[in-house]
Amino acid sequence: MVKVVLMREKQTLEVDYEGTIIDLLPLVGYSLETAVVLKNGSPVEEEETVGEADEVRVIPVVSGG
Amino acid sequence: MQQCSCGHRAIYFRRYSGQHLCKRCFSRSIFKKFKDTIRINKLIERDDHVVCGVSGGKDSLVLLHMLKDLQSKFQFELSALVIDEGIAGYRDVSLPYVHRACKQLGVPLHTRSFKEAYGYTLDEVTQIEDRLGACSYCGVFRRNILNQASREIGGTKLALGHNLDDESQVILMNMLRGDMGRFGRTGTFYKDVHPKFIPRIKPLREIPEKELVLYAVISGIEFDFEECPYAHEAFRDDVRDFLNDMEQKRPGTKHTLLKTYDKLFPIFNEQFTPESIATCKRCGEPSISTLCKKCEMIDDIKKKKGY
Ligand code: SF4
Ligand SMILES: [Zn+2]
Ligand SMILES: [Zn+2]
Repeated sequence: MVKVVLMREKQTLEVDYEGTIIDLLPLVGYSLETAVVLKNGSPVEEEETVGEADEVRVIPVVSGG
Repeated sequence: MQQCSCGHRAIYFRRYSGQHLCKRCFSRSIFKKFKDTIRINKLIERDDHVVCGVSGGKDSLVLLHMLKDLQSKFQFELSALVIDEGIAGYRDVSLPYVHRACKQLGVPLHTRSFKEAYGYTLDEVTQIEDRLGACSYCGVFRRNILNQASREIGGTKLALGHNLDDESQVILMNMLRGDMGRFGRTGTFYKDVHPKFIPRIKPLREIPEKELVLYAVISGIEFDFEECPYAHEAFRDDVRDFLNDMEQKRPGTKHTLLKTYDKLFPIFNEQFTPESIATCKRCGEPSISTLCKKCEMIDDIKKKKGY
């Protein structure tokens, strides 16, 4: 299980997933252009893979009004 | 795992340039872009008084931090200005971020509000019937107060946090709407056409929104994730989605759109911007016609609200 923390929605999901961050994003409602991702607390390239016991934080790229 | 050209582990892949960047090289590249935009376009000069419009969102807070850093390179004065539009659940949440940042950086902060300036909060304006979109009022009112307040503070430049995404969206929207008048007003620098007009500068306009978020995270800049409840105007959302989709498929799309616009800008500016701007007969602010858009809107709101 990957623990996905959606920072804006203030939601934590457990996703059964093994693969790249790029392909994980659409599953939780985001894309490359609309999210910055931290893997286990640090920024990483989205080509990196995540899997069992990883934590992924999704920071929204929202326009600041 | 990819390596940065300096040998460190890459944390960001910049698709539009093909670079893999480590934390340090990424942050440096962002600051350099900001500095180069200012230098090449002569956005800030020695002894300018730069008023930075801040909202509590990432763009303007990153801008404020970078301007503060830039002060160590050459002499100019820096103040911050925040506008409270009166949007419940949004602006009241983001204001503390602004206060904390200004305190931490030691930048004097000035506050203005719609309520105080016009008698209505934006939430109150949106209660009237048969109205324009919230952003139409908000944009006109905010531009008005930003200019007036910057002048009162003694500012010589008004710095805004518009990023590459904002700019490319506006360019495409104006194009799709055929709004030529506005087309001449999205450039790097607004030409000084009225003595009461404080020139607006946008030092982040070549930096993608996503990179500003990453920069904020890496630099430990705390910002508000909330989105304005009125932000989802259908047309802008469509344009944003389209550009994001194109950017993902064809990295560099947003930059190309901005560069194309910048090449055409001198022509647009010449053709579609009036040589001199009038003065509003009621409030004295710069205006296209004898009564400015803001005063026109206030009249309309008063009539509809009955107070
Ligand atoms: S989204 Fe519209 S209403 Fe909200 S702050 Fe921006 S311009 Fe104003
Ligand atoms: Zn590096
Ligand atoms: Zn007026």
